[in-house]
Amino acid sequence: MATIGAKAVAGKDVRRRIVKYKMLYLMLLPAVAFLIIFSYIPMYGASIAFKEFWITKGILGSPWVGFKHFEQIFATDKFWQVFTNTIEINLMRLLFGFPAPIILAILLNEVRHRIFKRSIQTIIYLPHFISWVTISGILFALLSNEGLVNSIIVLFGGDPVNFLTSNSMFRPLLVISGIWKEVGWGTIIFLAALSGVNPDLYEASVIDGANRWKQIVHITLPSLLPIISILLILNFGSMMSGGFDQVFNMYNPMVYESGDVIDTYVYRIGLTQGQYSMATAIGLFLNVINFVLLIAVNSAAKKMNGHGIY
Amino acid sequence: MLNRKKGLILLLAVVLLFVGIIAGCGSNNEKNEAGESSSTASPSSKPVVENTKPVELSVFSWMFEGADSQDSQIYKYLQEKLNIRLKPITASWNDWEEKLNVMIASGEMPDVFVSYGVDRPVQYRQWIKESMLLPLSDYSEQYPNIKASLANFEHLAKTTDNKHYALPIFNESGSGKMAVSGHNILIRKDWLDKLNLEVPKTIDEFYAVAKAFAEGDPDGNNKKDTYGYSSSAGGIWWQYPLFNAFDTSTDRWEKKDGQWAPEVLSDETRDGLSFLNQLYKEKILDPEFMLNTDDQKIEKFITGKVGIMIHNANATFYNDFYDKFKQAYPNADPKSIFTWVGTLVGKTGAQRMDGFNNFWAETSINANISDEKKKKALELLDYLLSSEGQQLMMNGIEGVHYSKDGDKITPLMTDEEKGKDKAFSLKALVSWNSDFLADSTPNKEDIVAMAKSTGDFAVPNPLAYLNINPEELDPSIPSQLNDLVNEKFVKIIVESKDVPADFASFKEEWLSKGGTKVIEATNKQAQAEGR
Repeated sequence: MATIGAKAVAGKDVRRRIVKYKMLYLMLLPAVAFLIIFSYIPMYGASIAFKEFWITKGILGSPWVGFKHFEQIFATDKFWQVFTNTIEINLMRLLFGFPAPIILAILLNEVRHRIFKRSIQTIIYLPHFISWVTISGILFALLSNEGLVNSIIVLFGGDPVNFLTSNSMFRPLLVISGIWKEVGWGTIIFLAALSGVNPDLYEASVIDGANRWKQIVHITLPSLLPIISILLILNFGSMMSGGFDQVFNMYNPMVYESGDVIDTYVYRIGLTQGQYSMATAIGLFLNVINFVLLIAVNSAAKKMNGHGIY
Repeated sequence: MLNRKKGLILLLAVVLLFVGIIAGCGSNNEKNEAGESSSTASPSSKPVVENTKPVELSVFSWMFEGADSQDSQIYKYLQEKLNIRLKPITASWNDWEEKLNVMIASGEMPDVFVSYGVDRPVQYRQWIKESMLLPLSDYSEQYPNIKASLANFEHLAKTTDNKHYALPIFNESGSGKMAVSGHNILIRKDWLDKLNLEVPKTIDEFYAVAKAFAEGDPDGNNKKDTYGYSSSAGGIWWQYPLFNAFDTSTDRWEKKDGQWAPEVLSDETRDGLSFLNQLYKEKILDPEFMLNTDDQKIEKFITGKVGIMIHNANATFYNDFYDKFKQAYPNADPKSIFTWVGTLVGKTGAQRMDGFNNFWAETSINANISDEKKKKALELLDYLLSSEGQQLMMNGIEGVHYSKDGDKITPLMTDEEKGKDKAFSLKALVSWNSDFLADSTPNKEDIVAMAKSTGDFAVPNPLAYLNINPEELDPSIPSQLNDLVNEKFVKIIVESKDVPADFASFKEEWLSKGGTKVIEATNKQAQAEGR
């Protein structure tokens, strides 16, 4: 059993604590077992990234080939293009998509009319349950050449815009549709955090003469800070995943150069066709980057405001 | 007291949960009882004695759901006839490949299974390298029907040391054809009639008709809101019949001065691109041709946004279009609204339609099962290929599914009733018989004529399944190049102001990104295989 907390405790103390809190430890047991069985034990399979995988020889018996698979991946210049695409798209998502639910939650928090607030909440989190297949269908209907948006543009005497095939439009489209879909869902956690803020604080600040704006700056935001930093750190941990569903359903050959991400490229090139080692190598490479980013951002966050995820 | 009780209940709950998790790991094996096949067991050396107890065989495919139903007459008949007990393992169409890979990777290869076989070269050759598949050709002397079927696919064995490790599941039986075509160019007949035009026969007529469709207001609403031609699925793949009309393609090879050269770099391909680029510029080609999904393309064709499309055209699709037109225009005969073009006469005066191999999936037998099981598995495939077996799978059992009077076969059930017996799906271990249409099929004559209009001109890929050693050429390079072709060609069609110049720079890029190596490796291997 691992020790709890940062303080190392002598063995005798540990035993005593386990006896004392046996019910808590018992409840922890399934979760720990789950992690060991399903997360840690399968990890040895990642070794096939450095092997020539033979089905009959199994994972442990396959011969080592060193970095051969990695060299194959890095040798293609297209890989670096989709690599930078992934990072750029995810940074844009972070820049615009991350603050959106926070701002929305704060705004909703200011609404005093309960029924109005509830219904707004429900309406904005519904898109989360619509699949990207459906949303891309809706987008195409809106933005295609004979779509609603272009009909309006033509009505006012403009020329139709090719929203879906232009490289300058594609990334904003990804980010905006992503925000539209997930922003409501994202507000739930912030609203939950806000409902836990002690109302005495607000009352006290009103007595001290704080207006609504001051209340947001000095009470609401600071109460959200821990959860904001945790979510930000977690977001960095998925920097390398490109949101396959969204991109795959929205892109086309005209916008590969701006919108192709690692996930979609690997899918097209067909690493799924039984090239286990190659697919594992790519996955491992991305996970290492994610891991490094997560650790780096976490320690930076801890230095800055003392809140980290561990 | 109460507290203790609570604690006990909690303890019990936690323990139960824990046991559940542990048990969850082992329960995978219960679902697919893959007989006693294990990947390491060597074939037993017991003399094979035909015992009375039926031999168990696990068969895997994505469509055997319910094939072992207790009231299936076909299933019973097969079991008794061959003295086997078939245990179907099934998966959904969406994840069958994954499921098969997991089974094989965890050492539980089914006794008999359907896979993409040679179409997944990396994986297929790995299975052969690890001697997991039974070399069917070694046994073909004893099984004449298997032998006869494999004889149609000699070129496949060339790529795997002259042995067949998988039995192609043929599309069209007995046609003896190496290549078949399931596609066609479909056109709005009512638009042709309105503009007093004929069905185009040549590529030039195709252009004239498409132009008239875009500019001559074929739907009669006094608006210029129609396109001549549209496509889908990324934009390039479905255009192949048009490239064929320029006697070229984007994915095949041709022999020039004794050397194999990729057609994608040829001048004819450049001309094909110029043609499509012109269609785009003149607003004849739907500007969303690369955005459309297949369904959107079909919708545009049916609702009268475009007049020509290229798509699948077999019985199922034809009747699907027929029904959709019936729905969209209830007062008109669908046959007066749409028809097919067939194979265009190209720039050289010849008709070319790149066909597909007469199969798209294959059946293999596990090499590491007992001799008795091997024998039974081979017998099963051989029986299904025999005329008696084919007859059984097409028409069913005499007296149950049909009655016979001399040569005349009268069905005793509707197709729907017959379809309830899921064991008919077992025929897909050896054949689809996609050219077999029951007499009850609606529009049968049209469908047969339509299939002939492209099928008769179908040419096989001269370098199908060329076995290039992955050590010589990283297998992901060709797929990367195909991806590049698709991207660049769409861009040339849409944006190019000077096709020859853009095509020249595409050629350079293709060669520099591994194309030179591909040409080298292809020629080397083609020579070795004597092609």
